[in-house]
Amino acid sequence: MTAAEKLAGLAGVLLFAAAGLGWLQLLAGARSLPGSRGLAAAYLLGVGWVGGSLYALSHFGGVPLRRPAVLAVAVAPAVVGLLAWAHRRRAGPQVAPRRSRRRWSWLERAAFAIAIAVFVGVLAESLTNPLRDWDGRMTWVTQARYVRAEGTVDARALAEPQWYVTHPQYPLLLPLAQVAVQELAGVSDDVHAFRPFYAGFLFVFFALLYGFPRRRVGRSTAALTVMTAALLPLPTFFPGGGAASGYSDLPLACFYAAGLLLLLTRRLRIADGVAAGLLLAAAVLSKNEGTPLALAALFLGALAQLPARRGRPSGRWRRLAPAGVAAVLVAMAVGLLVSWRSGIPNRYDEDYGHLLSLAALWPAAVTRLPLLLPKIRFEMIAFQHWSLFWSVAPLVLLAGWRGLRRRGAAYLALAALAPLAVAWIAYSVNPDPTDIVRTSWNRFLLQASIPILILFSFALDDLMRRSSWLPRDLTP
Amino acid sequence: MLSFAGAVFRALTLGLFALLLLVSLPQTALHVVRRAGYAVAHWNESPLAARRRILGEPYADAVARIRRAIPPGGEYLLVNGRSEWEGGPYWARFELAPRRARFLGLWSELPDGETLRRRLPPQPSLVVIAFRDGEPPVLMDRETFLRELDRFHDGC
Repeated sequence: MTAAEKLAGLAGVLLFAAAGLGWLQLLAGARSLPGSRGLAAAYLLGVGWVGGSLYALSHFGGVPLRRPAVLAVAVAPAVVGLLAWAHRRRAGPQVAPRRSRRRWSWLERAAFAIAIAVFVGVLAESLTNPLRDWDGRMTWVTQARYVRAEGTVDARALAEPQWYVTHPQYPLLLPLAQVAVQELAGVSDDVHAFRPFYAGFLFVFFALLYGFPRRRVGRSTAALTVMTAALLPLPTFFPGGGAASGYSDLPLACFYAAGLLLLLTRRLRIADGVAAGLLLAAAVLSKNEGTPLALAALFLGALAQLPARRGRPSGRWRRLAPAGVAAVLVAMAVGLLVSWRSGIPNRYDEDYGHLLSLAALWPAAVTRLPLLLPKIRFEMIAFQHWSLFWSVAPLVLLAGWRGLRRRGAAYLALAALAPLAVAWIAYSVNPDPTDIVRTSWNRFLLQASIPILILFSFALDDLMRRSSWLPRDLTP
Repeated sequence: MLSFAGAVFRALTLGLFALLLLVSLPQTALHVVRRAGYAVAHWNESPLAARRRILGEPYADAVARIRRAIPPGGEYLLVNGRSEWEGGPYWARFELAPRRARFLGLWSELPDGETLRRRLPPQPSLVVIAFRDGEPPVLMDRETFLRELDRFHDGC
């Protein structure tokens, strides 16, 4: 890419952040997120909103997927958010309690330096090299080209059964976000100006991993968790699913975790429910697995909001209202997906809808364990995928088990299991499970990685607190 | 005794955690330095030059020739030129999108030219044969393709 095209690609990424910042201004709860967490939330909301609204406008309204539509859906929330911000300023000065800022320790500085260096490295890769990975070229970016060429999500290449398209019914949110960047940048398909958009999810990944644990564990522990994540090959540089690829797994991991973490916070407001709903709706529209994951997040979020038996029943229902609002938005996304898929004949796809039955699931879910577990273990201990993480993490969880008694840990554990349960169901019914374990297990782990790493931070915190011999700088 | 064992276990676990960070660092640093170096070296590279660098000149040029022959809204027949399944057809389809492909299958599994001629729809008239990663795809018209297929079957 020329320098001008690189800048155009980066400007496209900023478009999502601008749209998302507008949404943050409108959503009273999420607006109070500080610095990097606010920017990460804005990026996710922006991608979800721009991609999702283009999806709906194109499918239901026949709106052409061209620059005017992209600008309209991206600029509208940014302008409304700006007006809301200006109105609040006019109404009176905001008296936000100022938190006392503590200086960063050397450990925090080292962790952030590593995370920033890794993000810059991934960004450099995305700005320098054309896409070379498998699924990005086989599915996502090819679909984006069909959709962009015809200016509609109901492109002939997808809707007519004779054309050779792999997984034509895969949800199109991320290809649409890619089209938005390309349309805004005004570049040809050969210009990989969309790649920084995928790299942006790495920043979100780090921000979620620092932001959520930071209030629950020591800052050194939160920083060490970010450092651990930054040093993992799979979410970063690995071409089969990380931020340096064109896969949808890291974005799905971020949407799923961000929606879930929001629903797990105390004293949820309706605005938080809207934000969580937008994030989980984006998960639904990102990948096939997005729908079960969004449902799992809604269920766990609702469960976390249910108070103990004391208190009036009406109060209980009021506490569930934000999760209910999120459920409505998720249902709308599922409706859009079902409607769009009804016009897309499925082919060149495993078609799990037909494979899945109780007879297929049982007893294969158990009898395939001896066949698949060694292959799963092989994927997890491969240094090029996870370094030594899966050799060390179980020990950290065991040694720091007291940290796992924190509020929310049980929900996070269940949330981490949800993508793995989806994987296991797929492996149980697929006629060739050994091959798909090789190509997909790591990506299911990636989808579960944020809850897993947060649980890891809880255990690490406990472990470090109880190791009195550690230097003071390292003790949380 | 138990608390001593617990302390040893915790110390060992923290040691292993430190080892995880230490052994991961050089690999990550190498990735970062390599990517940053590439970014500096190719900071203002044209898309064509980048494609030639990554795909190889013969592959990039072959794709460019096929793109000139088939317009962006056009269609083509796609054949996997290998005798076993590899990603070649995916990469050819990706490079040629948004041109629409009708996939015929593995070259070695196709019937003779005359049989296939009867099965084929009247359009598209151009055929792309894709090979393994990095091996340039070949474009031919339908008649040449069917003749080549006959020659292949005669030779079998």
